[in-house]
Amino acid sequence: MLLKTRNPLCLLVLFFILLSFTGDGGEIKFFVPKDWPKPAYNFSKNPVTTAGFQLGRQLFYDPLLSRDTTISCASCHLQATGFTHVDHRLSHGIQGRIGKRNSPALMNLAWSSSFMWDGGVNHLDMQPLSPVTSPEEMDETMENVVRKLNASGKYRRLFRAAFGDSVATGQKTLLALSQFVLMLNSYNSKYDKYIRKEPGGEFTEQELSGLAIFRKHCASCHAEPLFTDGGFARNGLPADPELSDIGRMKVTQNAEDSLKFKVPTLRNIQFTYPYMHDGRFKKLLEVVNHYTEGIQPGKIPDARLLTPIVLSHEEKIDLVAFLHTLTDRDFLFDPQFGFPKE
Amino acid sequence: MSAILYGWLPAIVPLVLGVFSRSQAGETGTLQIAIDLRFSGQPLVLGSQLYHTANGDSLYVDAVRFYLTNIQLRGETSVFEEPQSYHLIDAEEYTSQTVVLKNVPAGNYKAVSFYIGTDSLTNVSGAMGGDLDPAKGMYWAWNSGYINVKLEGRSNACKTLHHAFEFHIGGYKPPHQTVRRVVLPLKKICIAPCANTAVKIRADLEQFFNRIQLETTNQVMIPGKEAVQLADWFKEAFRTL
Repeated sequence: MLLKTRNPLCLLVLFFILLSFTGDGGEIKFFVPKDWPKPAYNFSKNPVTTAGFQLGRQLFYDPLLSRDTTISCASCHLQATGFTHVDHRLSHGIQGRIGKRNSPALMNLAWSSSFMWDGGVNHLDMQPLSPVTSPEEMDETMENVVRKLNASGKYRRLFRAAFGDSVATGQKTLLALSQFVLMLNSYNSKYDKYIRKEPGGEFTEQELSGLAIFRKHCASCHAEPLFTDGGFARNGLPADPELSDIGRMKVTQNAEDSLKFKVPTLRNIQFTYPYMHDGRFKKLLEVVNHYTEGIQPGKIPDARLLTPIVLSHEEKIDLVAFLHTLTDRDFLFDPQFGFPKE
Repeated sequence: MSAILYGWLPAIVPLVLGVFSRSQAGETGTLQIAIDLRFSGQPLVLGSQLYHTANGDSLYVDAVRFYLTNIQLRGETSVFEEPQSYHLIDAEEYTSQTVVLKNVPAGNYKAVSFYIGTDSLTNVSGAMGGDLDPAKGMYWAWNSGYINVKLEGRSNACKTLHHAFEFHIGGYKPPHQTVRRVVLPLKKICIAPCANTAVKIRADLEQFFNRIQLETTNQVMIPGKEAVQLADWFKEAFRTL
């Protein structure tokens, strides 16, 4: 023992000095909120550590990941809007190129076992390969990303801190990004406080009415507490003739999956506009109107949508008021998830 | 069903015992497996050598990369399985074309088996390292899974941009699995304690290209029926001498 002391005050000072070294983050530890299901992610293969999380955070905010160093993950996934690209129907990537789909919000990803609107990605670790290599997004190769990281003294230090070895590899880059996004968890909305019977969780009559409507008409797909069942559904939206996006069928080559898209979470939906896989709706009321009046006759939707949903205007407003209770400001403004200062 | 189950037993029991007793003995040697890439019997030259197939196609080969995994050596009473057996063989990287099996229990071996491609568990287990690192460019981003085999080149028979053909063979989900098992006989090789033995596995690409017509088959880069067929044909290229 190098620091031999009997003075408890010294130890206390030492403790605070050590604490200050962890920066604005503090110690990072994944946990499962009370009464939530078991995560799908296998943490035994990639335990989240503070250093791994901080490396992932640097990578997430670094445009180095794109071919011409203009686009970072955060370009299309902004914290204050639930890590999606607010106000853009379709996200723009490198050189202003426009993709085919609305960028999804990122949260509670440890509970998801497939990624992308079509579920084409089978593991969270592999998800970053898609935007990095897509010509409309970052238009880069992982091989070159690794080369750039290894040329950077800053990243060599960060890789050493996270993995005990300063050499960056594709594997470690992906594992670190997973560690960062695995921590982007939203479980402190007004709805959560209502469920946990905590102060701040007192629902108004309108919100209670909205919750009842939600549970009757929406929850079979958007299941609590994650507000998604993790599955894929045909929601009755006609395909955009200019995008001609067949959805999940592209991945499975199965005609039954034509026009199926992933059921997204509704958490923080107040700020994740525009909505739907192609961002065609700007307002929540438009989304509600689609499910009550917009389902195309003849386009066979998911079985759960075959019975028409009939809501009065007041009921629709109540439903939207409930959806606003899914806003989690602790998550949207947590400085640990923001742009790294260093 | 039971015939299948019990049919295995006589084979498995001695194998398991064999591995156990030999590793206990601690007498091991090394086996070098050289992957000898060829076309029509001649050493493969990338880019500049025009090759001809039995189907009348003429072509240049620009890239050959494939996964060789789960190598096993079969002895008379034992089987040796290489641990963590994942090798990316690349026609451009000479060092990748020799696979060294270490700690092989001493004894006689009469066959080698391996997979061309990656098993399904590897395809769903997240970010892997070494030859399985996604930075190796053998992984599909848009539809997760390893590209088991990449074959690229040019032929005037292809009515494509720059007359290019591109075969990225992969897919692990039923019914379109593309991993293929290859079992090849070995001229009885003896691994002596502390000795270094060598064998050659020849892959003659003509065997693959003789089975396709480049005018009609020239771009296969997604999992599916075509990839399954190409995987069956690519495996035919492998021989021991």
